[in-house]
Amino acid sequence: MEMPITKPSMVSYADELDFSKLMEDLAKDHKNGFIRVTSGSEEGYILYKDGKQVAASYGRFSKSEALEKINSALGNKNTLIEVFDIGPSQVNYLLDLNKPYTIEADSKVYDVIGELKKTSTGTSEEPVEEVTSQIKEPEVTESNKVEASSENVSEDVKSVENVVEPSVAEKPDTSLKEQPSSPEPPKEVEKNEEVDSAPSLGLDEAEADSSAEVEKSSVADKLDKALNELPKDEGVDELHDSSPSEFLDESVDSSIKDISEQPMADTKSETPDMAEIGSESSETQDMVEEIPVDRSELLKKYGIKDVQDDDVENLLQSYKGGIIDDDDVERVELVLMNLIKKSVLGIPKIKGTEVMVFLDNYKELSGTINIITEYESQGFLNRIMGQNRTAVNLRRQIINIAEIAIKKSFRQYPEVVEKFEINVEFS
Amino acid sequence: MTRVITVASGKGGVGKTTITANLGVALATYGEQVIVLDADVAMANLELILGMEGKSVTLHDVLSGDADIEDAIYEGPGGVKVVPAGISLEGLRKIKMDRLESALEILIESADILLIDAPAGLEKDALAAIAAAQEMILVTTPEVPSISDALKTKIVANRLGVDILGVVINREQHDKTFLTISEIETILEVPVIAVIPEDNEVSRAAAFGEPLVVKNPKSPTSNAIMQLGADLIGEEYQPIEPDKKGVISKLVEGLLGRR
Repeated sequence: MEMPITKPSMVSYADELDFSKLMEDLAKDHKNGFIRVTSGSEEGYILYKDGKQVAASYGRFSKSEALEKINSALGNKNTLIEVFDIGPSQVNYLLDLNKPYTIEADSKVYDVIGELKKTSTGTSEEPVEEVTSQIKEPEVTESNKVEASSENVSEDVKSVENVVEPSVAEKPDTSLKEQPSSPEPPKEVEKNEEVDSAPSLGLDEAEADSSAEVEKSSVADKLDKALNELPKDEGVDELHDSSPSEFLDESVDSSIKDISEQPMADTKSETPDMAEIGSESSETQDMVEEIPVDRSELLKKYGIKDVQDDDVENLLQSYKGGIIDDDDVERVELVLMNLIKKSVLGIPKIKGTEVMVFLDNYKELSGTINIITEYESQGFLNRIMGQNRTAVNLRRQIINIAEIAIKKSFRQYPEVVEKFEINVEFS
Repeated sequence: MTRVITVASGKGGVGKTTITANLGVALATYGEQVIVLDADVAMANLELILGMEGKSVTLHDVLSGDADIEDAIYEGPGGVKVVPAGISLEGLRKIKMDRLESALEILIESADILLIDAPAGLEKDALAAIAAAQEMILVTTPEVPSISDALKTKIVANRLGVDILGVVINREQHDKTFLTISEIETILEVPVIAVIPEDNEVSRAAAFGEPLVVKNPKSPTSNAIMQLGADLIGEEYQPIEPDKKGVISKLVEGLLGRR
C-alpha cells in the first residue's frame, strides 16, 4: 500500500508487544493511522480508521490474506511493528489511494486479528502436519464449498480463520483438484493437459505462486523459502489462492503424490522458472514505483501544504518595504495627510493647518511629515506670558495626533511610527 | 560576470553550510575565484567547518558599520576566500542587513563566483541572503519537514526573481521511509542536481575543521560535491575511486612509513 512514512508514534518488536492489546487500544481510542509490520524484507500495512481496520496489505497480498501473512510475521520475534498516527482526512485519502486493499465494512477483521495473534504460536507449526496428512487423503467432498467461498470477495475473513483452524487448513489442496472458473494463465494449463508430466507441473504452480509471494527477497532466498515451506502452510495457502482451472483429476492426484514424494533435487530443477517469475514480479514492482505520481497527490500523501500566493505576499511584506507598491505611495500619502489634517483641525485652538507627507518606500517604509499650523492669537499679556508654553503643548498634541494617524494607517505594523520624522511649525 | 549563488534550505540542520563550504572549495580547485560568504549571522558555522574561527573582522562588524567588507575577507582552504559571519552574539544587536547589499557589491568585484550561505528559515536575514543572489541552490534532506520548508523557500525565491539551479538532496539513504528523488522533484518542481549520501566522514571532517573535499577527497560525499561544482561551471569531473587496498596492506604501508 502507498503510505506516508513519517515519524512513528510507537515502535516495537513483535516479541515485546501484545499485538491484540495494541489493536484493542487503537479501537478503544478510535485512533486513525496505520501499522507497518516489517519482517526481514517483507513489509505489511494495516490501515485503521476510527480504531477499525479498513485496509491491509502484506507484500502482494491484500485484505484478509495480508492479515494472515502479518499474523505469521508476528510469530517472528524480529518483526518490527511501527504505529503511525495520521488525520482522519488522510485516512480517507489513503483509502482512496489503496482501494484494492480495502477491507469490507461488514468483515470481522478486528476480531480476527485478535484471534490470530492469540493463536499465532500454534499456527506456525501445526499446519505442517495438517498439510502432509491432508495431501495423503484426497478427499474432495468439501472442496466445492471452499472453492465457492474462495471466489467470493467477502469471504476473506473466513479464509483467515481457516488458516488458524487446523481442520480447515486441509481444504486448500482440494482447490487444486476442482477449479471451476479461475483465470489461470492459459499456457500453464495447456502444459498440464498436454504433457503427462503433470505432477511436476502441479508442483511448479505451487512454487511459482509461492515465489511470487516473496516479492522483495532475492531469488535464492525465494527458492530456499519455497522449498522449505512448500509442504507446509504457505505452499498450501498458495495452492488455495491460485485456484487453477481445468486441472484433470488424474494429473492433480499424481501431482499430489509428487508433492509428497518428489525429492528436493527435482524441485530445484524448476528454479529457472521461479527465478523468471521472481524477477518479473520485482520488475513489475519497480515499474509500479516508477510511475509518475501527480504532485497534488504527493503533497496530500506526505501532508505537505502547498504554499499559497497570499502566504508569500504576507511574508514579503516584512521585507524590502514590500507593504506598499510605488504606485500606491501617493495614495497613502494623501490618506495620511487628510487624516492628520482633520485630526489637527479638531484641536480647539487651531485656526488652520497644512500637512505634507513624504513616504520613502526604499528598503523599509519610512517618511517625513511636515505640519504647518496656525493657532488663535491671544491677548498681548497672555502672549508674552504663556505663548511659549501653549506652543509646546500644541506641538506635543499635534505630534501625538500624527502618530495616532500613522498607527491607524499601518495597524499591523505599529513600529513603523518610529520611522517617521514629524515636524511641526507654527505660523 | 560574477555569479552570485545562494545556498538555502528553509529548514535548519540539513547540511547547507557543509555543502556551501565544500562546494566553495571544490569550485576553487577548478580555478575559479570564489568567495564564500556566511550570511547566517545568527548561527554562524561556516568558519568552524573551514577551520577559520576567531577572525578579528567578520561580517558582523561589516553589518554593524564598524568595518569595511574588504577587511573581512580571508584566504581559506584550497584557495577559496571566506567572509566569516563571526560568532559574537553581542554584535547581533547592531546588525543591519541593509548593509549586506553594499557589501556584496564590493565582493562581486573581486570574484568569479560568490557563494552565500543563507540562514535557515524565512526571516528577514534569510530573505536578504536569497534576494541578494541571482541564482539559488536548494538543499534538502529526503524527509517531509525538510521538503516542506524547501518548498516555501523555493516559492519565495521565485517571487524574488531568483533563478533556482536545482535541488541538492543531502544525507540520502537507501531507505523506503524517505521520499524518492522523483517524488522530491515532483513536489518541488525543481530538478535534483546532486544527491549526497549519508556519510560519517562529514562530521569527522567538521570536527577536524577541514573541508571534506580536502580531508577525504575519495569519499562519496566529496565526489558528489566535486561533481556538483563541475556541473555548475561546465567542467568535467572524474570521480576518485576509494582506496581498495586491504587492511593488512594498509597496515604494512603504515608500518613502513609510506602513508
